[in-house]
Amino acid sequence: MTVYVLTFPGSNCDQDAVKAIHYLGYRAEILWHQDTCIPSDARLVIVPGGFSWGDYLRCGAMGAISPIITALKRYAQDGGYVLGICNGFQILCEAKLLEGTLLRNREQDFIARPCYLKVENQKKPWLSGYVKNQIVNFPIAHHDGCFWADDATIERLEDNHQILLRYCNEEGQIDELINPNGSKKNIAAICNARGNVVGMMPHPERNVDPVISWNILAGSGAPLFHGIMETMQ
Amino acid sequence: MIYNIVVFVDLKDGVLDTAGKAVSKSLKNLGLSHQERSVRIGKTIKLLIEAENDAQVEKQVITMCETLFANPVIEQYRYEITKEA
Repeated sequence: MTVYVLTFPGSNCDQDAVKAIHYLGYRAEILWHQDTCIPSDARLVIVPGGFSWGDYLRCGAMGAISPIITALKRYAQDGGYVLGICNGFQILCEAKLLEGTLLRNREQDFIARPCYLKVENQKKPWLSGYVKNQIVNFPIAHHDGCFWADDATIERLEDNHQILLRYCNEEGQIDELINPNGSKKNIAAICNARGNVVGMMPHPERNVDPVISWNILAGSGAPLFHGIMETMQ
Repeated sequence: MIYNIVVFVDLKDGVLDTAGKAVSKSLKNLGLSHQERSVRIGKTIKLLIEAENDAQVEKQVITMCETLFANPVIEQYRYEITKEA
């Protein structure tokens, strides 16, 4: 079982993802955007953060039409697990593997800071290592992290329990004040209807090794990865 | 035949435009009055396409717009096609 981490020109969080996976004791390998297939031993494919194609045209727009994403669509169609982080979330939305899109942050600023998040449900296998309403902390570092979809789509995501994490404060309160980027309904992470593709703006891989997690809920990213790697459906 | 293409990509109505909002604030600071919430920022893409006829080039332009130039979740597009002199 291997975790494959895709890389594009301008990706810069791929090694963070590889290191986090290694830290947790699993195999991780890199794939390049020109590669045309996802190997058969893939248990999870991570589309990492960064600035693929310099965010030119729209964040993730050109990544979405790269050969490896064409291969990823087939892999996801077959039920394979995909985790898009930050720029990866943007790529998955552009590729229509996830609904909605990410707009420029409400205050126009690049925001880089730790972020409390509330676990909305125990969507298997992703959140099986958490309990509902648990508070975790993953850092955010983005300029275009404002999740947007029309009201009908948001309602459908809510009704189908496809919203996995929301921005909240330390006490778990969810409101506009604590919303770092203007995301609708404070949405920080969603999955597709089938539940095998997840996208999130915060970086769970940056709260796996306690050394780099600012001591805030240290290691709270680990159960996310353990959930996928250990839970057999 | 060489065709001159200009594509205009705009945000759909109802989509949050934080950049437009920021520009609106700046206009206000400059004392330049305008209707609030009316500033919307789009983009222009220009290119040349070689094609056999008008129908063929239009088909190509639409494909480019649908697959790359515009994100249909939040954007709409229109285009102008002229023959290069």
